[in-house]
Amino acid sequence: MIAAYLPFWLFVGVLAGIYIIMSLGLYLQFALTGLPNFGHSAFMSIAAYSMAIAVIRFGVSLPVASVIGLMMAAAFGLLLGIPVLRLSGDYLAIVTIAASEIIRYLAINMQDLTGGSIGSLGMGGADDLSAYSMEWDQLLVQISTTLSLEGKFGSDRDLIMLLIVWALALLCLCAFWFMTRSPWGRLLRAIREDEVAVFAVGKNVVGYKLQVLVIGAILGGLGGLLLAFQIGVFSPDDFLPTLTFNCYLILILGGTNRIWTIPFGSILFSLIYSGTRFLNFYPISLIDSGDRAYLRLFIVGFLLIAINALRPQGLMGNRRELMIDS
Amino acid sequence: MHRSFGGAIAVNNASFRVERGSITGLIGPNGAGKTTVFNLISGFLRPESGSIEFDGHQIGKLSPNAVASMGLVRTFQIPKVFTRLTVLENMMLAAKHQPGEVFGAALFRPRRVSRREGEIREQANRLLDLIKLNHIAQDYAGELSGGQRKLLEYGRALMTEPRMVLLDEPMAGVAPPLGLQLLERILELRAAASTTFLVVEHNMDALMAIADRVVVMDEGRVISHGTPLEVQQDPLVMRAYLGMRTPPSLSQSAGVVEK
Repeated sequence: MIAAYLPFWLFVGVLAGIYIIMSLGLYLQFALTGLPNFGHSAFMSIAAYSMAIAVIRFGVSLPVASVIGLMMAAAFGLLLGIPVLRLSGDYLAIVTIAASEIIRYLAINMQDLTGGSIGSLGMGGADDLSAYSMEWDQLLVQISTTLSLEGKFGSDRDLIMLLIVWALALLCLCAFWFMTRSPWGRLLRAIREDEVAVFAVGKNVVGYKLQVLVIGAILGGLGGLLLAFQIGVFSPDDFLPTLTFNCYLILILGGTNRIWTIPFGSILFSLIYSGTRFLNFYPISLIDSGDRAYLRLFIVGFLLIAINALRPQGLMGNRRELMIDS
Repeated sequence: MHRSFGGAIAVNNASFRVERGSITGLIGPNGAGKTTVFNLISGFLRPESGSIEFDGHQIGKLSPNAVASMGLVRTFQIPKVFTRLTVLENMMLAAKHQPGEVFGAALFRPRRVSRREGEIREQANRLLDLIKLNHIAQDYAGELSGGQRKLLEYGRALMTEPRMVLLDEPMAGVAPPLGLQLLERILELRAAASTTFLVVEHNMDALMAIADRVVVMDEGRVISHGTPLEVQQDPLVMRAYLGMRTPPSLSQSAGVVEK
């Protein structure tokens, strides 16, 4: 059964890797620095849209367009600094989710630029169906011929994508694992605990908050770019706030206070999210398959509640730290 | 300096001077404006008028972190510790000149960062010895008692190698033996590094015992200042503490004293 579904699991693996990178950005902002950013999906969509618009409408080469995408995401991160430096807690969460929804509605309504609700397919106008990912696909084909894979592992494209995404994800994870253990990470954790006290010992809290916003935005943007490359065409519906919530679920599943739990949370989430299609046995098979697809949403919501109630530290989090009243 | 909140005047043209290397007490009944003065000096509030000078520099318009990095550090009435950081981390965080606080520095110049980190750890352990918290250095600060938190906050302020420390009720809520220890540390430190202290404290016996000079505030004004003995004999101070309102003519003449 595993072999038969190999292409499917490759695809799931790619998504899991992309989720690692996205969740890492949220980890830095939320778990480490204590900024409840609920607009994470905006970073992803801004990077993906900027990249696609640059390629399709302005004929920019893909590497340059990708850098533009990341820069636009970073700029939006700085823009989020306006509420972040003034609000905290629930208020900040509300403003950030509103900001991300504004971005999504802009993407739907600025049809001439973004292709409207059709998304990237409509960007070039009615008779131009050119895709942004051609250069990327050429690169993947090139790699697969060099390695002469010839479909031994199902889909060559997804296999290479899997390797690239996971290499990037693990590289980012290692780099940030190392940095969060450095004095830089210590400062961010202190800001999470009590920013007034950080001011009082002479550290520039404002600067660090902006830094984390931008870094988180770039990681979110990188995830958005990879997602866009993987799915080939995208529309505003690919960047729903659900994406942000999935990242939160990944952090909570693994344990919010440890960075290396992110890949475990990510894999587990992807298995649960995609694995629900294998729920075709009795008595679940009594429900028709269309309705069954919605089961995953119930399961994700139920999991969130169950984990928060029964195991707030997640699967591998630090319970002692979590039990301390802040 | 002058500062009001809405219609309430918290600090009403209060003016005083703290001598370098001295321990100066700042006392006054509740609502006298002592904490507001602390917030003004440490940059958490801006004065509406007036100026604050520290070591020849105007600091009235500086941000709190800029004030602190000039060597003027404060503690809080209710101690603010980083609860989910260890005691040692709380201390180490406050140290100055750690290149590893720059994003990415730990990756690109790990040796410089870890060398400085070693120095900082040593300094932190020395100070933890001094404030008698070394046996719980690896505990989370959130697991400490209120008194221990006061000590930790005090130690953290010292980690910045300050030239002047503002202590907001260092002995409030601390078990008496701990409070006395804290006092001894203040004296020791002044002897060793000639650090200046400005202390708000309601424990009069303790404060009068260590302070060189005392500034008394009431209703936002400085109503008296001098040596502990002088202040204790000042009829204006007695009136402020016994709840009798000072006649306007008297309080105005007192305001002139420092100017």
